[in-house]
Amino acid sequence: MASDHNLPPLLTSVRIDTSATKTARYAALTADFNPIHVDPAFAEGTPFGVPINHGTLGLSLLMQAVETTLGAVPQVMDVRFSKPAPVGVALIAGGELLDTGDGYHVHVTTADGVRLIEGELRLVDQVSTRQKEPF
Amino acid sequence: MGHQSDVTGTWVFSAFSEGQVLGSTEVCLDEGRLGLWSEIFDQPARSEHLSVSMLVSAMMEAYLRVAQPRPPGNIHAGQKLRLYGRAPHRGEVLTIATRVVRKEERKGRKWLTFESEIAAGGEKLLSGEILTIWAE
Repeated sequence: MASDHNLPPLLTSVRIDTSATKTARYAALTADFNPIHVDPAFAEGTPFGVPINHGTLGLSLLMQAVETTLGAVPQVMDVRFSKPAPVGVALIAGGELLDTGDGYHVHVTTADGVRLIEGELRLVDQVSTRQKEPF
Repeated sequence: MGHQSDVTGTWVFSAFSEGQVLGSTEVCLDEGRLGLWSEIFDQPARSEHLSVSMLVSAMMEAYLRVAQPRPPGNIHAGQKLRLYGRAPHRGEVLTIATRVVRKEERKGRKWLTFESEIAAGGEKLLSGEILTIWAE
């Protein structure tokens, strides 16, 4: 499909180094105090063995990569959380332009390339944002 | 329009139904929230126009505040987002409505999809679908 968008080939990569402190702050920001994220003693008894980052921490980083590259553009994003990441690893968000030219293959990885979040972003036309009745 | 549930115990899979409205939550993008966000992402929130990524954390907060308590071990498996091209503003109050849109059992797993809609000042900012595997 031809695209009217003239998009850069790559999203600007964005990175954060996660830590227990940042995880605690993200838990406070989202009210998500699930012990799998914030309690090492609890996490030790899970299949992961250690606390894992909130999945939407990486998703937020991915949105920042899009925003840094394109601004706050109308878009549709569809991603899967394919693998959890231990607290303490670096998260790197980025993406490559799709062949169709109207969006990106997007991902969040660790510094050694393990894919944590993966999916597609497509730009969409601006539509009215006036809210009708919620639900 | 769905219906509000009067569930009083833990929100197990059987307590949900498609179309069920779980509630509406207000989240203010105040200085405390911006401070947390800045410390997490090592970015000062200097502008009146904030990062759209703040809509994700607000969506998750609203999702987590409704339908409590929940069984331990739920998994956030996937996420769809539609952004309408309007960044949130410093100090703005977001109204976030959350409801159940799909409920199904596949291959022994209990799947629930929640829809979230964020609005402010009469404008839609984000619509999202939170795909989860429910533990019990």
